[in-house]
Formats: sequence, C-alpha cells, structure tokens
Amino acid sequence: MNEQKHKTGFKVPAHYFDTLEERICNKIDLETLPKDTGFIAPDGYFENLETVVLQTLNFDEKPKSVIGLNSRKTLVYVSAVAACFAIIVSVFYSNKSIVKQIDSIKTSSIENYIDEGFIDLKSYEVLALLDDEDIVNIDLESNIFSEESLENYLLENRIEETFLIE
Amino acid sequence: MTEEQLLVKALKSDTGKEVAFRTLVSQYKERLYWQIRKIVIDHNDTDDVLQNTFIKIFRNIKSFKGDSKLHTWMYRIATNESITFINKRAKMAKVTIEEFHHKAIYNLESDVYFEGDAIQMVLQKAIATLPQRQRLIFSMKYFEEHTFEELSTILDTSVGGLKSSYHIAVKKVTAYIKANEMSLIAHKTF
Repeated sequence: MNEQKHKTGFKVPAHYFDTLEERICNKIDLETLPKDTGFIAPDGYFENLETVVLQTLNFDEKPKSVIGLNSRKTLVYVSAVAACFAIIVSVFYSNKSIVKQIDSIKTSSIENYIDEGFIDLKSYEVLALLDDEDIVNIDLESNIFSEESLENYLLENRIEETFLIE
Repeated sequence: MTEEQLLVKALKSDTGKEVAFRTLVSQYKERLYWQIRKIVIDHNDTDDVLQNTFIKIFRNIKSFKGDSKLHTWMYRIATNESITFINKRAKMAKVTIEEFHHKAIYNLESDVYFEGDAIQMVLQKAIATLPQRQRLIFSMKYFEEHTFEELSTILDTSVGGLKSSYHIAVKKVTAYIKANEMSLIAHKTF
C-alpha cells in the first residue's frame, strides 16, 4: 500500500491491532450465549411488594439531626486526640532513640564513667545486681583492710552478737 | 418538569410522600430486584437487600440533588447494598468473597428459583470465576442494556476502566466456556 499522502493525525492505542481478531471472536462467541440469567422469582412475589416495603417504614419519622463535623466541640475533641497521639508517638520514638544510643556506647566508656565517680552507686544498689553466687565469688584482697582498722570499726559500730557468732 | 422530577418533589414533601413512595416502589421494584439478584444470587437474600435498598432510598431521598437520573442513583444504592451484604456474609462465614460466590453458584443446581439450562449454568459458573469488580461489570453490561456512561455513574469508575475490565471479563468467560464445551456436549447427548 502506498504511503498516505496526507496524515490524518489519528492514533490508535498501543497493540490495538494485535488483539483485534481476538476481541471480535470473543464478541461473536458471547453472542451465541443466552442473554437471560435463568433466575426466576416466586409466583406473586412482586404483587404485594409495595405493601411489604411500606409496612417497614414509618412515614411520620422525622429526619435525623445532622451533627456538623466543624462544630467547636468536635474541634476540641479532635485536637485533644491529636495531641495525645503526638505525645505517645514522640515518647515512643524518643525512648527508642535513648535505647539505641545506650546500645552504641562501648562498655569501656561506661566503666570509665563510673570509675570517675560520675555515678554515685550505693553498695546495696550494686548488690541488687548480683546473685548469691556472684557475692561468694567476690575475691577480696586479703590485705585490703588492716587489723587495726577492723578493730576500730568494730569498736565504733555496735554489731549484733548473733552476727559475730555466725 | 419531567415525571421523574415530579416524583422526586413529591417524595421530598411532607404530604403525599407515602403515595409517591408506593409509586416509586411500583415502578422500580422489578428492575432493582434483578439488579440485586444478579449479585447476591439467592432469592431470599435478594428480597432482604431489595427491602433495605428501598428503605435507604426513602430515608435519603432528601440528599438526592438530581445531579444524576433517579434510577441511576437508585441502582447505585442497590449495588452498594448488595456488595455490602455479600461482604458481610462472607466475613460471617469466614471465607473470601470469591469462595462465598462460588458456593452460591453451586447451590443454584438445587435452587427452585433457577430454571436455567446447562449453558446458563456454565455461564453463571464462568462469571463466578471473575473477581468481584469484573463480575459486577460483566453482569451489568451483559445481561442489561446499561451504557458504559451509565455504569460509570453507578459504579463510580471511569468509562475507560470499565471498558477495559469488561473486555478482560469477556475474555475470561469465553475461555471458561470453551474449556467446558466438551462437558456441555456430553450433557446434551445424554
């Protein structure tokens, strides 16, 4: 076929001609099928349908009042909910970031921080983190306290006799 | 003022709305019934959905602005009510919407309110293989004389999207029927 002398400017969708035969065949196939569903309604069903439907309605009912979404009260509620949500989200994310930061700190840095006395840990706080086995296994240097200092401590502090017997 | 506009005016008025509503039910009961029946399949379910549709129409008539035709607006309510009904029932039965629809179609074989022949049964089974949206578009276009423009308003979808979905649905339905032709021939022979 000769090339068209004048172009019309018309276009067809992509692959329009590729599927044209198939679409025509499908349409022909479909036309051979019945146009009726085969469903039937019970005898006399439509005859008294108006009465059945009207019985379910109250014609004196007043239309329900419409509560506007833009009322001041609604705005207050919505603002309160939004504020609560914002607080929950911010607390959740800030806690998450703290945990993340602690995880990223080296143990040696934490040790140095404690050694330098930045955290004032009481002995019972440390003991609370240890179990019985840990306490027994604490290897105290034998010469950490001199006999003299022990005697002075015992004289200055009243120790229950039962503890000494044990 | 057209007949439809007069009816809408009467439906919105305080006096005479009962008579107008009876006229409305009378005029549209069959059309809406068949529209719903094609979606929910079972007659008793259709009856429930049809009554709910009319109740909804009555309660919301004041919000009908006349932007579309009254029957298009009512078809839209009927279609939405049917879809909601199917979704609820499927959820209650803890099955997918497709599984629920399959079951409804297979129940047709023993349904006293279905008198279709073998080919109509296969056609229904073929439609049941479609996803919900395609099934809806195919049924409304194939069994009724809706234009794509009307369907576009009822289903709130673009005309292009509808045409494309209908074309895909036709392809699937014909493929299913061709695959089942042998069983149909056997059915006719015996």
